[in-house]
Order: sequence, then structure tokens, then C-alpha cells
Amino acid sequence: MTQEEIDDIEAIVCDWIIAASGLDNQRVIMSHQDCPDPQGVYITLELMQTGDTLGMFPEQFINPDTGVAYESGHWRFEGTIDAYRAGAYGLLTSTRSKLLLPSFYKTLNNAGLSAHLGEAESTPNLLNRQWEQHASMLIIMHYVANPVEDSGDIGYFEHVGVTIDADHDIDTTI
Amino acid sequence: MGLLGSVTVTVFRPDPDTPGEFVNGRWVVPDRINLEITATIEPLNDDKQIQRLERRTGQTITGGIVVFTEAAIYSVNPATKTPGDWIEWQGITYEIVDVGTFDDTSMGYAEACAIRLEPQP
Repeated sequence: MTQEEIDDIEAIVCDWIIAASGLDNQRVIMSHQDCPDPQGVYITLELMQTGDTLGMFPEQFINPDTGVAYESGHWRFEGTIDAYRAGAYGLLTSTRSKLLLPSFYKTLNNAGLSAHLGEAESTPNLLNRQWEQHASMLIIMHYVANPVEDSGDIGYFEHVGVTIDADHDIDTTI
Repeated sequence: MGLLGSVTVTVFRPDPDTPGEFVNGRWVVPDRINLEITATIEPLNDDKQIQRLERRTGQTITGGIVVFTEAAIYSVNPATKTPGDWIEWQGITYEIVDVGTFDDTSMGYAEACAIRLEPQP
């Protein structure tokens, strides 16, 4: 997976969180950056690629109807979504409940992405002898390259000749 | 009063009028403005100073310079996370990471430490 593809995925996930959280695009950011802190409450996203082409999915497969080879694959990302400052836990809880609504989640599916979210947890930080509100939840994502058709069920993608259960983890969440 | 052995160097400073912004969650730094200042440059070879800067920046420093100048010069601001000035000397760009007064005189010179930005050999 190229850096450009990863950047695209990050942008899609950021937009997904922006829509669900109601924050502007200056307050939903990738973590671990050399940058000024955003104003007010804000959300950070950390995604790390932890697997690719899981097991049975090769990087390339052939359309049985046409014989054309397709570059494809199945990638897994893990990470956290964190909220900071006053109202962090409430923001993350409400954001989590919206993220998995079909109206928001569909934007991920259309891009070949699916997600499993953990529970939001309040984990305040002690900074400069003061407690900073902080909430965190885990996120596991699957990305399927070249999805050719969304089967209509959230979380399932059809490739050419292959139907992929891209997010078996999500069944209990939705 | 000029500095002994001073040369003209180019400083690249974040433009205070056009702060950066987040694009797709990534911080995008605007173009820097170019300034020319007069400064005396020395290699950064004080082991204790290097150790102190390594603790501060979290980087292994194998290339750095010390800049003595009467001009205003800015380092990284840890509180606001505003990036520091870059300075180009002999075709290599360094980032100012620490600014102090020159201890041996009271003439108002700044003594700034800068570490190399490019991949180090």
C-alpha cells in the first residue's frame, strides 16, 4: 500500500469523524504531529497498518469471466480515536453512536472501508499538575482495494468473483 | 558593533500572518518568509550542549551549528508548538532549537543552537 493510498484512507476517516462529531476540520486531526494544539475540544485519530492481504486474499486475482487480472487486497488497520479537553468523554460517546449509523457509515463502505469501534473510555491525563479531560476508544478498520460492488449489507463487499466479509468484527456492534 | 568573522546567512521564518492549517487532519505549514541576517557561525561540538539538546529534541544530533547574531532569531516554541527559524549555511539547512544570550558579553548577542534538518550522513 502506497503512502498516497494511506493518506486517502486517513482523509476519508477524518471526514467520517468530522461529520459524526460536528467539529470543524481544524479540530479532527491525525495524532503525533508537530503542530499547534487546536482550539477547544478536539479529536485525534491514530491509524496503524497491522496487516495486509489476510490469508486467502492475494494481491492479484483474476476475474473468472474475463480472465483479466485485478490488483486487489485486504488491509487491516488498528488505532485509537481520542478526544481532549472539556467535554471530551461526552463528545466521544455521542460521536461513537453516530459513527455507526448507516447514514454516516455508508461513506466508509463506499470507499471500501469498514470499522469496528471499541467503547469510549474516560482516561484523564495529568498535565502540568492539572487534570485534562481525555477520552479514548479503539478502532479496527479493514480496507478492501477495488471493491466492485457493495452487496447492500453494511460491512460486506463484493469483488469480481469473490465476496468478502470485510468486517466480521462489526456484527455485534451494529 | 559587528561580530568577528560574521557572514550573511539566509533565515527562513514561519510567516506570522499566514498560520498553518489542518488539511485532511494533517498540519500544513505555509511557505516561510526569507530574511538575511549577519551572524557568526561555529560548529556545535560541545558535548554537554549536544546532550542537553538531544534530551530536549529527542533526536540524535550529529550535525549542528551555533549561531551568534544581533538579529532577532526564534527557536521552536514548545508551548505553542510554533516551529523555529530555519537557517541555511553552506548549502545545508538547520533548524533553530535553542536561543540564549551569549554568556561572555553583555552586548545583546543571541547565541542560538541549530540542528541539521536533512538526513544526516
